[in-house]
Amino acid sequence: MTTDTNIAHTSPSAAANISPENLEIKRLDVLGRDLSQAEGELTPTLKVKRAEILTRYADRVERLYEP
Amino acid sequence: MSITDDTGVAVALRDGSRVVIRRVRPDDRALLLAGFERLGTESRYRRFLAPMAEFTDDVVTYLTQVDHHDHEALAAIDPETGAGVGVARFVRCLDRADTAEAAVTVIDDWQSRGVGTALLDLLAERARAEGVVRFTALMLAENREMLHLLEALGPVRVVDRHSGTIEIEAELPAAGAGRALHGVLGASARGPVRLAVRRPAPG
Repeated sequence: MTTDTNIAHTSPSAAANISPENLEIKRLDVLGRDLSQAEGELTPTLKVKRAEILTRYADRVERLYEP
Repeated sequence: MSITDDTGVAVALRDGSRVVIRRVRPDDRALLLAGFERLGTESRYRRFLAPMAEFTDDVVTYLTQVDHHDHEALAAIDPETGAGVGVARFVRCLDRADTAEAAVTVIDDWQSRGVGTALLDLLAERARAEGVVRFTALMLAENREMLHLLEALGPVRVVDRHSGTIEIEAELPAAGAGRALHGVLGASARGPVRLAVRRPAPG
């Protein structure tokens, strides 16, 4: 698996390819419900807490990258 | 100048246009939804830190039925059309009664005119009146506009960084707009900045 660190150390032209138009969604996982403040996934002003999401669903995120 | 009821205050923006800023009311559902429709994809992403295609009824209720104590929301209205052009809100933290999370949104057509500055300035006054002494905000690390707005209120420190977002805390000035003025001038690295808000005399 290529990590962000590896990408950063490749050639500038390779790094330049990490732009939105060159990104592609390979897999996705649907949670099946809206994120909620009660579950600690949204802040009081309803912003998504990325850190919490990535921690709580780490296993599901990790499975997206499995070969 | 502060907002203590639903009548609001008129604010002159730096391009000469005007907005009226008042508290959000339960009957503002349609106003909020119409404003959201005029909010571009990127602006929505910056506000919610995720793609946001639509509001559920529950979300609209949450954003419009505020108690004006633990949750305050101010709307900027275009007096020419009656349309909502921006909103700012704070919600008190459960575990820290003197701290509230703040968020500001201005629809794309009205950005860069000083609406956000005016909203946040008045929101800070409302927050102080309710015993809040500092704002926290979670935002994209690249959102310089929001950072500049908060820096206009007072010293800002980054308390957390994660996945392209930063969480910051800003102490609110004790009273008046003195520090806000200094902050606006201090944040003018991009070029000359005139103080955005000229408020009408009370009365």
